[in-house]
Amino acid sequence: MTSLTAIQLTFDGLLLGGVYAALGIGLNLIFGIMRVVNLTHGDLMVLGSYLAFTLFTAFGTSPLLSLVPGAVIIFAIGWGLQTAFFGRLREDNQREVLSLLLAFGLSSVIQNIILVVWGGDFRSVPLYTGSWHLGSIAFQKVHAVAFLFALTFTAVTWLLLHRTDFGLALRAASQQSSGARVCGVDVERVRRLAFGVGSALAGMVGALIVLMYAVSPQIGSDYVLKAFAIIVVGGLGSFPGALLGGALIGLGETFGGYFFGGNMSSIVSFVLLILVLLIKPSGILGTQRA
Amino acid sequence: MPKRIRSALAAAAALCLVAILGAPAVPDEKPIVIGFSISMSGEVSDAAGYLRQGYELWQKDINAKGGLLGRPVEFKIYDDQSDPQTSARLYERLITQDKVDLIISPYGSAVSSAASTIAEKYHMAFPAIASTPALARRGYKYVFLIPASSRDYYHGAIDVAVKMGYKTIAILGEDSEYPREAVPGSAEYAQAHGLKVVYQDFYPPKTTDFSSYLAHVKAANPDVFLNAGYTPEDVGLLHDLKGQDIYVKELVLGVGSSLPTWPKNTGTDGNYVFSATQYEPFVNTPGNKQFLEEYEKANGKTPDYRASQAYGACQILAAGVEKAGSLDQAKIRDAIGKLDMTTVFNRFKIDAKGAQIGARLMTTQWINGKKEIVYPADAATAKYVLPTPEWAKR
Repeated sequence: MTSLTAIQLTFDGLLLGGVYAALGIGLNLIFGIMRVVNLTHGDLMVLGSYLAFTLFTAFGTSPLLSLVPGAVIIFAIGWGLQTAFFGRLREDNQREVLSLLLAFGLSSVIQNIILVVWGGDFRSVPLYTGSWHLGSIAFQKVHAVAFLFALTFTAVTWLLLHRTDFGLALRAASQQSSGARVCGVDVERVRRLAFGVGSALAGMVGALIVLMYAVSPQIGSDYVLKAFAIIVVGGLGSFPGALLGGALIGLGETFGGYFFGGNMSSIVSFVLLILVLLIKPSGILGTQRA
Repeated sequence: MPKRIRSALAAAAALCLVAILGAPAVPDEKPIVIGFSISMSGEVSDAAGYLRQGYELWQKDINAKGGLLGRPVEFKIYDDQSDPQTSARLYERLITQDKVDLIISPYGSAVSSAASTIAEKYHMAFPAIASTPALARRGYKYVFLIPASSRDYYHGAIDVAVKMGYKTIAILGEDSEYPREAVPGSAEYAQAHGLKVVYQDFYPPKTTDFSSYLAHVKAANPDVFLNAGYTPEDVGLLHDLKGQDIYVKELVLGVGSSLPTWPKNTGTDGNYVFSATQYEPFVNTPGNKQFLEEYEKANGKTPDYRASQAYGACQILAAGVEKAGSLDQAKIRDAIGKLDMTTVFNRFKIDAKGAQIGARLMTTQWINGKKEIVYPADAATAKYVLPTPEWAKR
């Protein structure tokens, strides 16, 4: 392997990791902090893809612009999901498992709604193809944008959580909801907002995905699995951790695929996950939670 | 009237009524039910959609002509979600529970392969819409193939490359049925004709990121690049090839690049890509003009070759049924074994093992958003454009 190839692969892996990490941000809010096993996260991402595709086909709008209305619509859907479904789960120690089952069912429903509305054909938006260059290293344009998106929104979400009242309220509600209520936090409202924000983030990633790959109604399931792997590896609730997890898995896939070829690349992410769970179950940058 | 006679008359009247009402309906117009699964979702759903429309058009046409063996044709359809295991289960259900009279194929080598095993198990004639010749190597008696073998798909594109004096080729394929034949088939043919295979690999299904494979391709710097895959892989590879600044003189892609949705999904980047075909709307097969008109009227778009494949498959099955004069599956299969006819799709002739030896493959190229047949010369509608222009100039 030449050093040029190694450098190119490294950047490919990091950019790929950025895409996964971008999806992980919203999931970190919903699962990492609120402990809702949100299997619909990937499907909401796909919904974002289809909305971007529709606006592009109808009006020629670039997905980078339709990120905004898409985010608003999917925020509303996320809010609705928490209000109508996840918010109704009783707060006992079965909540996590029940949320998994609930999300599994909702995921099926959302995928089939997308299938009915848009059909099963693969969709892609052929804009911004090609790369920027730094010397002879190529950075695929949309991947680079997704990477920057991941960095930016990681910072924004971290600030939201640690420097705003909303963030304080969410963290309090997630650690001890009864205590938070006693302190005057409207726990339900805070949860709905968080679910909405997390979902909106997924929707925005969807608009980027439709520029990179061909999407179809089912691909949400594959992406959500990767996103879970990343936030577990990086540490639940840790936003820098998700970036790290994304980078590790992205690099693992590109280098693993290069050296071992074919099927090994997908094994890498899950081997990494297993190792982390065995050695440091709270994740690389995670902290032990009560 | 004495009481006994009145009750006897009443009983007789009641019996007559029961006899009349309970009598079985005259079986004359009992429909023939044809069962199949189709991928309404999942990886091959876009291609499978065309298949279904082809089937439905045939059903309309045959019913307008009085049906099959004088009986109307009905369909029983299930969604297999592009999953082979699901399809197998559904065919089992169609045959054992729904007790359909005939079966036709789902789309794609992987899914049809699974379904064909069930067909063989229950001794039902199965016109497989699958290109993998592996289906004919299992010693099955009831399964036969409609399309030409995927092993030969890209021979035309390789012939063109050799004509142009190209020297090297890199081949990638998805690790599933059709590429498992198409990749080695293309590699063998290339080597035999003086085109050196500098890189060859399979990627797992549902791969979205190809950077690791393309790192090898870039290092090998081939003249020709070939991918055997479906839409998501073709689109993903096209993006990644451009993104990694990999330029090849001849770019040959898989199923995705042969579908009418290709220009919409890839814009100008998708121009000048080669693919394999067995039918295009402008070919001269019998009944094609009418098929085209009716298809466009019913579906508002031009048919992809899979639609004509489906139509042709039904024509073959119907020919077998008419020749056998019954729904006896063994007789139907024997009758089909002796056929040599040209359907809307292509010529049909099978060998003793059920492999397709009549259908003819052609090579197409997208030129300015329009798909043209560029090889072989006697079927060509345009001359191929080679070498492919640089990325920026497409």
